[in-house]
Amino acid sequence: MRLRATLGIQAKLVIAFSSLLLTAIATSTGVFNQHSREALSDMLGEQARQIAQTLALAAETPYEIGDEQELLRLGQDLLRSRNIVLVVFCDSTNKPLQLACRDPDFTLTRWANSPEFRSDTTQLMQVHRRHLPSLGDFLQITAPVFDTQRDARRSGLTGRTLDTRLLGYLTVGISQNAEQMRLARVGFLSAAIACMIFLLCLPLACTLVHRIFLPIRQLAAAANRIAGGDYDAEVATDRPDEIGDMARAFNEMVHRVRHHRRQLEEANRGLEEKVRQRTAELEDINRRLSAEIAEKEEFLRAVSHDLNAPLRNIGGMASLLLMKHREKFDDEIIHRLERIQKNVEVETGLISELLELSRIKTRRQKMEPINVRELLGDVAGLFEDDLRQRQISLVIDPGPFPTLVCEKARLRQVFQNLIDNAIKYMGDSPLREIHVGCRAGQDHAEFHVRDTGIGIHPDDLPRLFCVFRRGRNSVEMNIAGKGVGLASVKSIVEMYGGRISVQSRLGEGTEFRFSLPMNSSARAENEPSREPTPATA
Amino acid sequence: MRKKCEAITILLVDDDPDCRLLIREAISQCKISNMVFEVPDGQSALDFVFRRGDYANAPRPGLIYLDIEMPGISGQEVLRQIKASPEHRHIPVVMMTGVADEAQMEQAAKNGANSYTLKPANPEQFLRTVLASTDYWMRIHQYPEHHLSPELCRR
Repeated sequence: MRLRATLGIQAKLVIAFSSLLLTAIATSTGVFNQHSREALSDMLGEQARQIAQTLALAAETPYEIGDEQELLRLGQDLLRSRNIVLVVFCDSTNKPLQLACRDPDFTLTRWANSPEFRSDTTQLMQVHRRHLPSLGDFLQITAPVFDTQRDARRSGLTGRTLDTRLLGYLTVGISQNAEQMRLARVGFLSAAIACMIFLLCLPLACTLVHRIFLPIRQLAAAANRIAGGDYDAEVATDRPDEIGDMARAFNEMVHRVRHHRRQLEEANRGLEEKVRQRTAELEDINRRLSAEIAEKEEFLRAVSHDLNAPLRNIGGMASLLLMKHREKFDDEIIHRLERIQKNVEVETGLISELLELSRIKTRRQKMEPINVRELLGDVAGLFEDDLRQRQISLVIDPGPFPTLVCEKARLRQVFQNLIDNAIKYMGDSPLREIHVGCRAGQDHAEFHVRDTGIGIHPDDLPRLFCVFRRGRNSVEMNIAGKGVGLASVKSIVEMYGGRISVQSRLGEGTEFRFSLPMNSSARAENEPSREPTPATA
Repeated sequence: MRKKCEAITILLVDDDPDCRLLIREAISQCKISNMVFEVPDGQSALDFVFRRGDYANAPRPGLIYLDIEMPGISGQEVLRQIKASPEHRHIPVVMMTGVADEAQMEQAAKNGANSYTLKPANPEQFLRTVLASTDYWMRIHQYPEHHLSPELCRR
């Protein structure tokens, strides 16, 4: 698992290839060695047999005459040859007669006492492997010695007859050392050659695998670059094989991805461009609206200043005259001056109300959640004296009132103006009651302010909410008012997206109904809103 | 109280001659006959205070009534320049305006106005206001110098 994690495919391939190669070389070397060893053994065995036969022929005469010294000489002669290590002569009863050995410590007695070396006369002319620490590995073969010459002399015939006499046995040991050494050398050589081949092959294999994997690596690198967001990555496709197919498919895929991506980017750019345009338009509109509002504010300031200043002067002059010369004037002059003052006062109030009306839409105040019942309590407190004086009862519905989110001062202005109106137009009605209530709907709250006053003439109803349009009653009854109050109410209600309506019967009373959204913040935020510019000029 | 008062020099800055007349009349209601000088615009006001041009020999005013809305140099600018001068910054300046505007009021306070008077819509009230204001500043001037803050004493 660990190996798989740390080694790449290439390394694994190289390892597999190398182990295969090593196995093949080792196997072939082993088989070769085994075969050569066997062939060598066979060859040596054959040589041993021949030597034994030749020696048997040579030893015939000494055996016959019993010349043991001659046998010993024969044996020692033989020892001089390269690979003969041991020659033993025995008589026909297998009793050892003479021994010649490379190892001087290996005596006849020791031979006779070592059963493993003693010649087995039942297995003549057969090769046996023997080992002595001083002589190493050697092949031992035992051959019989026959009296062939005497037979020939006796019969006068050449060649053997059936009547042969066993003279004794001889044993020859042939050393394997030299051959083994040669074999070892050959083995070493072949191993060295195998190693060299392997060492030569390893870089070759590495190079080969590297070359085979080159396009795959390129593909992987390209895939990585694409994963990293570089869609210009491509791979060479000129190979005719499967890797070439893969590369072509890969390039096709990359091409498509690039194409789609470009489309997406273009679409995105278009979208961004549109958003930018729209934003610019909106900003422009906003700027224009802001400028307009600022302009209006400025205009209102100027009007307020310029209308008020002469009025103040007129009034001031009248007041000064009264203050300084009251005792010199007769009653008529004093009365006229007082009328001037009174009119200036009315006009000044009118101007301030008009300014307020026009500011309803431009000078926005803080939006906050308002408990309408509390607000109504405040308003009722304002009119406490008026209500007591005129013996009017103001009834606020005990039912639930909603909490509205809007400008507190504006909402107060609505109720204040309506209740003020109701008080003013109560007249001499026997039933003197003003009723304020609410019915909360899904997203709107509907309020009503109902009085039992003198009512409004049907002809006046259509113009009721217009500025400076006062009902005929007000003139007849000399009711103080400027005709701005209801216009303000309508303006405020409609600014919040509400509606206002009125129902009235002469002599019975009037009912104003208006609706306000429960949460008018959304609309209010869409409205152009701007603080007045601090004018220092 | 008023008997102890000494006359002071009052500078009246307003572009409206009728308004100037009214204020002058209001001031004249004081028992003490103060010296009242009138200038119609900001530039003349600055010349008067800093004794330049035609006003090289002008007396140092002890109180200035300064209208904010004036053509040319505005009252705010005149105020700023007077208060920026180390020699003249101790002259009390009463700002007057016909329009209630919080931003303007704040600006006047920042520029160092000593008082801010709204010309009341009611003319009689206006006269009373001017009278009260003049009286107040006159009395401030009458305090023994060691009772006064140093900036009011240095005349």
